[in-house]
Amino acid sequence: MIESGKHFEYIFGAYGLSAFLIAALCVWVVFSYKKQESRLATLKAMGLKRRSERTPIKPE
Amino acid sequence: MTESKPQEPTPQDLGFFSRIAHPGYFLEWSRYFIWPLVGITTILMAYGLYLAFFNSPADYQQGETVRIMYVHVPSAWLSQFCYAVMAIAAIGSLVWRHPLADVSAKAAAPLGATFTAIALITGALWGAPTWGTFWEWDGRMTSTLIMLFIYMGIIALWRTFEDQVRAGRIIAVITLVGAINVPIIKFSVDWWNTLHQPASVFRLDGPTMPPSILLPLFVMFFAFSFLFLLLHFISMRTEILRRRARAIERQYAQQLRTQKP
Repeated sequence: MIESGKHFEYIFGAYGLSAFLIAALCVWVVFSYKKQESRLATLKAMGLKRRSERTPIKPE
Repeated sequence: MTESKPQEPTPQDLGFFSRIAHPGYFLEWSRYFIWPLVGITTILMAYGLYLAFFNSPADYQQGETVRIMYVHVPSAWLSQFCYAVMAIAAIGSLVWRHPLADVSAKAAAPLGATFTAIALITGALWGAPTWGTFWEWDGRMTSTLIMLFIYMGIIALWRTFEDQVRAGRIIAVITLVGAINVPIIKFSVDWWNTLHQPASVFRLDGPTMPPSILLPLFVMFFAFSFLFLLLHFISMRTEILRRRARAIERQYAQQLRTQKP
């Protein structure tokens, strides 16, 4: 069990800063994913698709 | 240009490894791993933090500050592991021109940079009460700081190039050159007379610490590793979607240009 008062500020500083950086990283990673998902959804709503997803044009 | 390539084989035409590494197929199978990875990471992190704060003793020399090690060591491990992932991906993109290798390397860089920063910050906050200094220009610390700069350089390079396929090849070469820093970090504590201690967990004669300190360290080690895997999977999915969106937008732009009189 941790005892307070023994370099308490360094221990909690280390955990606090790490938690902040990890949380920021997680938020950024999820936010970027959602952003690209909505970007693709917008393109799809405009009727734009990838070449491989379009119906192939039959050769004449 | 990717567009001028002949029709790619469908995932069904490929062998097992090519199939799991096909970007489209990767999007399919990786989605089933996201929530289980969230669960495993959360449980391990919660258990690791419980052990770190409530169920582990203070060290006889370091005192309570030993608890900083439960964050410092896993992040330092990830900072090097992440670079190893990028170096292997670099070989994948240079030798096999594999599109998923580029995606993997690009997705790993910000994760590696963050864990390197965490390792440096927690190391400094441990060093202040234990060594009496936040920072010393010794081999381990300097080489880790250089690692952070390499990560930042690689992230900046990815953002510099418009054509990500070309960027992938150039950055792969730079990543492999930078890989020389990984063994330097690893062996710096043996080669030079550093303030930083030598290896004490993975040694031929076994760890030099008691199980009560080793257990939280291992739990946090796995918690951080699963967190990396989870974030890497999501970032790779993001990058594949980004490339798809960019390809569609480019095709649309070309279409508009040809339609104009």
